[in-house]
Amino acid sequence: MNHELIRFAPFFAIASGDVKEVANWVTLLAEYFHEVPLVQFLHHWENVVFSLTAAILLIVVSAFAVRKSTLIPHPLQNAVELAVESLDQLVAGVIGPKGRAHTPFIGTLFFFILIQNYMGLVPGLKAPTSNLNTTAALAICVFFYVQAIGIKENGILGYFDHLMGNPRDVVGWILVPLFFPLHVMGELIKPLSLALRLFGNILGEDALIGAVVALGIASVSFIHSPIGLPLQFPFMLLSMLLGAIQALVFSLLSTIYIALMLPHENHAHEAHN
Amino acid sequence: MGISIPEILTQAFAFILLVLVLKKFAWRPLLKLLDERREKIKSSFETIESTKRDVDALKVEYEKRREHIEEEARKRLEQALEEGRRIAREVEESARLSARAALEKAKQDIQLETEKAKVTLRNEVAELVLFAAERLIEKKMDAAKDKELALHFIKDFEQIK
Repeated sequence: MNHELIRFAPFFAIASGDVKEVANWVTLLAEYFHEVPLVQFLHHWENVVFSLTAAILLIVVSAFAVRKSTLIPHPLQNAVELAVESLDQLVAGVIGPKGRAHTPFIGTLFFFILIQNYMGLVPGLKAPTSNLNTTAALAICVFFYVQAIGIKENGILGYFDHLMGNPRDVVGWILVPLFFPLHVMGELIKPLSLALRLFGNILGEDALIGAVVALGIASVSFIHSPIGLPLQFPFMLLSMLLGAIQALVFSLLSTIYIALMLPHENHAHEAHN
Repeated sequence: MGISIPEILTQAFAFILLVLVLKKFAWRPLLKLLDERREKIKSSFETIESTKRDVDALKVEYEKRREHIEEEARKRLEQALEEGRRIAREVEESARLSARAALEKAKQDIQLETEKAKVTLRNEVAELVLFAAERLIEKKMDAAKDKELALHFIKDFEQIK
């Protein structure tokens, strides 16, 4: 059986640390043309290549949706508008009336992550979000965006006041040495948790699919079948669900981080409203 | 876990570029379009509501006018009836007065004619008496002739009558 697995190795497994994922076109090229410099370059920047593929797909779909946009929408425009409006309402629901300004960032984040997650289900492609570098990059973007919004909305003094826990009395000022490092750590842990959650979930899904694909191939290898049993199909459906959930969780948490960084009066006022 | 700082920076840079591009060329136009459509739908609904209110107001006014017109027509009909009755009364009164006047005139004419006839008759009787007296004086000769004369006189008298 080990011999058969090795024979079909290029079709189902690559090394991603110690975790095996389904092969993609870059790993296949690397498998057969590993001496070619371009292939080596692509293999080195594999996740960036697939991230850019997702970005280009997003840009192309957006361009088609916006190109001939009319008040009475065509089907693609209708679908895109539905998604855009849902996200806009989600962001505005969490942040309030000021949320509209953050919809482009959160919306792009959501669709970008969603497409990247789903790319793992397409044969020949891989989900770049199964790599920590990709999710870390996104989380770092969110971190800087949130801090920038905090400074912009609160002012530099208000920003540090927020990090110190908004001390207004003696007890508050006494607790500043405790709260300040806690808040700073909290701000740093937020992107870390975002990155690790998304990376872990997507890598787990892809690894599961990779393992089940290997099982499907191995299960019919004794008859030298060129294709394996599609045992991964139910897990692909599960991945579709989890991919959407993970994209939503990442975007929603980013929205909440933005909302938490806005001046507290706004929240109280909006909550009151 | 294969952390690569250049890869993270590249991915972050690519994502920032993607956000900027999509924000300018996709999100803004789409959100603007959604707002425009929302405003259009809102204004359309407001127009519909306003038109509905106008129609209701017109309906009320129409009902009022219709009632007013009916009332006006009824009043005019009553006025016309009253006018007709008045004219009929006047005509009747006039006719009655005319008839009475004609009757009075006829009575007066009859009276006058009667008076005239009486005068004429009296004059004729007087003439006859005178005539008869003249004849009596002229022709009184015997009894037979008297009788004949009397008969003749009566006959003449009957003829005259």
